Amino acid sequence: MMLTITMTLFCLFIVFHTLYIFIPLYTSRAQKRDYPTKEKGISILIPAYNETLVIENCLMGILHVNYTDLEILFINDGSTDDTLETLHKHLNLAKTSRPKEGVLKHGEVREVYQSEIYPYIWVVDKENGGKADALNAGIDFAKNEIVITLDADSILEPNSLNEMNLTFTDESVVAAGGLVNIVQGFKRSGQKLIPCFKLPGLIRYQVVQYLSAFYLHKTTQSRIGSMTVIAGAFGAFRRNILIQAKGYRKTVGEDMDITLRIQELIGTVLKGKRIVFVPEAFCYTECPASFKNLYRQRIRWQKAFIDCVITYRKSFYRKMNFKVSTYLLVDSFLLGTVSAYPTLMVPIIVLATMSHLKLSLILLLMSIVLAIMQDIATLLVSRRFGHFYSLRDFITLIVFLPVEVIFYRITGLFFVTIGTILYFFDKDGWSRSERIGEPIMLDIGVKASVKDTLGG
Amino acid sequence: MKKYAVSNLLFTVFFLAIFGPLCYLLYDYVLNFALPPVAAKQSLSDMNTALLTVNRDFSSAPEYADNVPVLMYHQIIPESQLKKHHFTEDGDINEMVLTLEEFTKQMDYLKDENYTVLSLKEFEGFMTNQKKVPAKSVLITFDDGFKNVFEFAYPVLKKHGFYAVDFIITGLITNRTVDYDSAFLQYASIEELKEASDVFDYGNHTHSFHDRNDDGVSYVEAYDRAKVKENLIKANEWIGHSMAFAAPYGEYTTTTLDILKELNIKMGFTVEPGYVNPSQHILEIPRYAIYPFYTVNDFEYILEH
Repeated sequence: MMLTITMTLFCLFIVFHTLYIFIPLYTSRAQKRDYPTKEKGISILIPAYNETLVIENCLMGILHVNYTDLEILFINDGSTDDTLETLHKHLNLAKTSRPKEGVLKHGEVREVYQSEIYPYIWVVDKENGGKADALNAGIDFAKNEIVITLDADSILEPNSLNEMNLTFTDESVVAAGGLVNIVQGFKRSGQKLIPCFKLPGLIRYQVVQYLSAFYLHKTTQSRIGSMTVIAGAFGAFRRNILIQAKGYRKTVGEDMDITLRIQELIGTVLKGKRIVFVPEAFCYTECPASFKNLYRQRIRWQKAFIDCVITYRKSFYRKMNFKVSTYLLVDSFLLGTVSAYPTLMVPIIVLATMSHLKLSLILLLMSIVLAIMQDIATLLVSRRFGHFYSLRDFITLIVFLPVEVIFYRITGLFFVTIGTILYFFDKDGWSRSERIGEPIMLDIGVKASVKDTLGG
Repeated sequence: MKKYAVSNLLFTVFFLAIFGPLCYLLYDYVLNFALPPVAAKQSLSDMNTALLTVNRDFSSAPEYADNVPVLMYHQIIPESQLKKHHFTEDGDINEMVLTLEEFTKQMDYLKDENYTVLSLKEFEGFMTNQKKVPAKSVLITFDDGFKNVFEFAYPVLKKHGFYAVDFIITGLITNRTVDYDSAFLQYASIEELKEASDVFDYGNHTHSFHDRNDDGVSYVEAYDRAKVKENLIKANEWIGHSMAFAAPYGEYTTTTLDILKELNIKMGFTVEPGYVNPSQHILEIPRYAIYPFYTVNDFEYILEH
């Protein structure tokens, strides 16, 4: 009986992870992009709560963006540090008034500022109400058809808005996720950021994980129409859909929550609409550099996930379509969370009873091989999108893969198991990742020019 | 798409080359252990394995036997593969098990001493007074049809050119040959039976009556005549002949003997020790159980009367 369950789960695992390799491998290709001449209006929303350390990075990214029909709204969610002052320093903010639609509820807005240097940049200063509340305020103020949400530590790649614009020319697309790169995994070379793998192990692990999560997993999900999370670091939505979905819910993982809300709409009143992943549109973000912070981040993610599974438990297969429900329940919940417990128990049971030792070894070996294959496929696919490593880095990376699979991935199991348990004891006890705020400006020139402008 | 055809193909081949064998390993494991083999659908009679026709001419033998010892074995397992369940609570080896090392010594002894190991056909000739057999003759029998007999005893017997009889519980013979694992009590597969049919003849050990009821009475004794008869017929049909029968646990009644007569079963074997000569009741042939605690001297003693 146990063996039947094990084998069933393992086969499901193999099926999903083989799909993750071959669907992206055979469908991903860098295409020649014909960007539409007409720009759709884009409103970028950046909620910020005590982001002094990183907000400058974010700002530099945005200033560098190659797009004109654009407005940017920073939503200062009652920061108690110098976030607002930092923005003022660079933007020269002036109090103004700005109409809002009043379609979504949110905390009280104290002031609205407009930059005197860049008139398309606005800052909404409001009472603290959490990230979801800040985003709702942003949606309410936003004027444009497309709303893009960024984290305050996301650095937007200059061409990514054009990519999003192109994506949304397809009327069936109601929301799109961009690719999130780990900024520590790049080094500056002239005007460009190029991938670099000379990193501490913990960051290497996350770099590889992000690459495979986006280039393989999200690509696959997008192809089969089962996107369950648009990363909060870089998401794009049609504004009317966000309003139809009644905005963001105050929860640990508001990014997954809004995605599932939209999936509910797609499953009911918006049949035929799609949520897609756009690997060509990307931003850079910092990843936790210490184990402690990684632990906090992952526990938070897991809590967010469990929260969504519980919140939407009645929607699966009813409001959400089959693919989304199955993907989330089988791959994410059953294989990702539930199986983690027996997986951790297996070595103990096997060593205690010495039975099925051979089976365990075969399963372990298959998992390791599959994981390494997935990593190799990640490298192949990411190359097609211009993610090249130098030969030296490439060799380091190849050598690192088995280490990553065998040692670092085990930590993932602990995060999942502990996070799930902690969710039930301590739903709100979470903190966001500690910001590092390395000055990783896209371009020193921009920074200098900002300073000049400020000075002048 | 063409652009990536080569790398995709290379990767796919690489993937299959490494992952394929692993999948096969898993498949093999699951077949072997996770899914226990089930009773064979085919029977031995379907597979054209007739009785051994070995019937040698012993007319030049200097001396003929008055008595022939019949040896009885159950399981043959190499000492290194003995598991806890092969021992009694006192730490002695289970009476049903003989180590392969001991078995080999005994067979070597038979060879060295020029014993004639009879086939079932020759033994029947002896019992029915139709044939004289050499003075130093012996019949080797096994009970139950365990896999380890085919795994370990068969090669030794074959090497020495010996013959033997295996009384099989036909309902327990499996449909698929699996890897040997001494952790389990495995029965032979139909395939193994067929392959070993150059050494073994198969006898009737019932089709499914190798068991006892709640009062500890063996099925052959406990069930009514019709049921037992039906079960023996099944086994006979399965094996394809009705040469020999041995009652499970050696427990039977006079009714059983009547059934054997009705079914025209030529020889019946017991577990009572004793030497065999043609004057004895052919349906109650005694056999010497060869126990693990026997020394070579004990073995010699049994053979030499």
